[in-house]
Amino acid sequence: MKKQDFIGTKSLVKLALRRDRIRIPAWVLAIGLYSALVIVAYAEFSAKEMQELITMASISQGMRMLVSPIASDQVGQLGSFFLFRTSFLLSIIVSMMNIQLVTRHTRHNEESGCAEMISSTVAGRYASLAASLITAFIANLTLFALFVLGFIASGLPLEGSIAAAASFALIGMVFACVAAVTSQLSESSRGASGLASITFALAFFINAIGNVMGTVHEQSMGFSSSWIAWLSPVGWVNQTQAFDQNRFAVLLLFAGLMLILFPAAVWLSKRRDIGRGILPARRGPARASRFLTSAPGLAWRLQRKTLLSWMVIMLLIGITFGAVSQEYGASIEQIDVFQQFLLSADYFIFSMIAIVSSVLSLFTLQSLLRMRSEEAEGPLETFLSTPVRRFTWMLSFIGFSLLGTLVLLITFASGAGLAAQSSASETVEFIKASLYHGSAILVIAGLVITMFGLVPKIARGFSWILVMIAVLIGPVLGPMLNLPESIHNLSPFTHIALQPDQTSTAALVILTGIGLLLTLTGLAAFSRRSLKL
Amino acid sequence: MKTLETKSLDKFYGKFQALDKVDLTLEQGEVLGFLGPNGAGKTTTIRILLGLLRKNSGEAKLFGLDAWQDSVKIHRRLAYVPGDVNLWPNLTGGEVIDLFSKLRGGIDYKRREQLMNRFDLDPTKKCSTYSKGNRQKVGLIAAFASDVDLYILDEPTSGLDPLMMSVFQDCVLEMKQQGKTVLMSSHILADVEKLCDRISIIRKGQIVETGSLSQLRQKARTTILVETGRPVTGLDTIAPVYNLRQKDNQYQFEIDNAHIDPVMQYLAGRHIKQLTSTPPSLEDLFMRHYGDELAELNSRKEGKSA
Repeated sequence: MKKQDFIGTKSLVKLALRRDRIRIPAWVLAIGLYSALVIVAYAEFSAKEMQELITMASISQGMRMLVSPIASDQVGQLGSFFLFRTSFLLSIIVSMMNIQLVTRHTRHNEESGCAEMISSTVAGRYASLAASLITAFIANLTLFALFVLGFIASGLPLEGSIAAAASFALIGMVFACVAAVTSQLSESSRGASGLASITFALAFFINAIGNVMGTVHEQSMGFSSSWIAWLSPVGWVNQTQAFDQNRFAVLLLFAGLMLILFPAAVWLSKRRDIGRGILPARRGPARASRFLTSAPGLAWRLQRKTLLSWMVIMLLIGITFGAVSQEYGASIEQIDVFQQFLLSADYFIFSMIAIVSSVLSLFTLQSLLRMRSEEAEGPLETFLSTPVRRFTWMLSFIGFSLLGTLVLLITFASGAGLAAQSSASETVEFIKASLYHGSAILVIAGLVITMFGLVPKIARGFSWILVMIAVLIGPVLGPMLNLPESIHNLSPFTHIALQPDQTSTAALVILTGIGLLLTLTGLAAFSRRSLKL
Repeated sequence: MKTLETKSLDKFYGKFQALDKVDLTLEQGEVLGFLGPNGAGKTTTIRILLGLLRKNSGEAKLFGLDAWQDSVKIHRRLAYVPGDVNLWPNLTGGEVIDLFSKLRGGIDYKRREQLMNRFDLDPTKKCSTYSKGNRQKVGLIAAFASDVDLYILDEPTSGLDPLMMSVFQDCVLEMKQQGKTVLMSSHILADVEKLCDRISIIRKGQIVETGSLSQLRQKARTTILVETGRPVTGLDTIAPVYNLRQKDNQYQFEIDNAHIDPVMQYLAGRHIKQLTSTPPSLEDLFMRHYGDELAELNSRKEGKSA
């Protein structure tokens, strides 16, 4: 690494900031605003309410996957309670923002040919890589400032606010560096961000296991995680113990990891050609299989790997949650407070089904938006010059997306049922519950399809926003916000009860009806409009 | 029935008028060259003909059918190669060729193999690893492997090396012999000169010239280089003369083809020592229509324009 290898970095940072002048502020503001809103909502909780929620989650091994460890003397404190419930979500969102940002300015630039132009100018070998990380640094620094401001404004102590904000900004930087590495490994930006996301999922899972294996404090007043959580950067965010011990030394771990990842990315980039990855592109068949040569075949061929990886993940999570549910059922029966809730192992699985269904709407969204990239990136132009109806093409992609979602829902539910050693009739109930949630996903799908048909150019951004809102105000995360019921009702997920027998047939019919109507609207609109290339 | 016909086709992108009363016709068995500077409206016209874009007014018909309404019926009988062939990065070239051939009615493996050899394409490589020229080849093979009546080719040779260009020319000539119809836009004048029966030139969304090459040449100017024994004076009283340059008794100028006869008669009386007459090349024809644009661009170069 010589100084001249980084020449031109400054101009490239300016270029990246100019290109992302809307995207970065939108992400950063949305995240900052969301966390501020959540604190305001939590401020209304009484110490007793907080304690109940903490106890309920601490004794459940499944819930511990999704919360932070908390010391018993912190139970009832706003700052610690906020981190207890939202740090997993903030870690996910901040990391995703960074992964998207870095792959966009490295691998995606190479795919589109921009990088080649840049490299031929007076720009050093590593200028692009450095510029994308500096851009990420600027975004994370802004986020840090917003977090601190929001926390202090909500009356939280300064030292803890800085520790918490720094831990989130730093996990962002770590995954920016992870994306810098995966951008060298994979040859496509889809592959690069996919690899980085899988790395994050792994880190998340390691921390989750650390929490599950942890010890519950006396009287179920919180829990602490086992040493395993220290193996994951997601765990470090929790171990900083902001608003409690404020262990700033833990933050050095993030810095240390970055000092390994950045040189690794540089080292890898030296060993490959521009436009290529370290993992070589394999050769493929010289002839097409009979199945590929149709619109549905193409939709399958282009996205089968995505579907298969989701299936493996769903099966793994399903089996994990199913296995954990048994212990949850056993421990819960000993506690009086929860007798009022109908709590059992089955109840636990039903709530996991609700959570996973919201997450699965991301698969639906992604696979539907593939239609837009087919259109914008060009292949659709040639494809539609063949005697294939637009309707057939679109229906093929929609069909893949919806059937894929169904398969994933069933995979999760049956995996959980199997691992929980449930009876056949219970497993059927689990599958039924996931299919009911499928009707809510159908509404989301309908919205995405309508936007693709009517307003293709902004469909991508708006679909993401809509899905995020539907999930955030839905039954899984919505209660954290203390919003009025009328707003909760806007999310289709709110209308599906946890247990299938409590969901009204009317709700199912209405949701399915709305979903189908929106889908037809989108289909009709696309058949009538010009392609937006 | 005309294979392809547009009548006063208009297309707006917002307030910008991309096409202004475009008339194009193409008879069966004809090869039409569709020429024009970048951004003149060639691709827009083609996309409307393919039913990918909506027109604002006018008519666009292929095989007597409406380009938008009956696009599927029309597409059974045509093959299209876009100017920038963008393919699915994770599919191989061979798979893409099969996909398109199959969708257009079936794969003729013999013909596919033959074209693959002629264009020297490795079908087992993923599309993401092909160069621009190789992606173009995939598009061309997929088109020529299909047995259709009409080929629509948008700048088909961009990115091809000279050897591949000549393979491409052979392919088009074969199609022509089989009575197929071809619409191709191109900047490669050699292609146009060799392949096209007629050309249409589009500029700023308007068709400014249509006709066979010889018809167009008729309208164009011939360059005369002459050396005479006696000075030539008052040439412009005989006919309009352009770009006159003189060195002693050597003269170079351009005249309209219609005025060749009187000018020759006049020069004959001036004791001609040497005379060369150069017919207009396609480039001249082309440049004539771009003339004012060229003048504007040149003046910008000299910094005269804002």
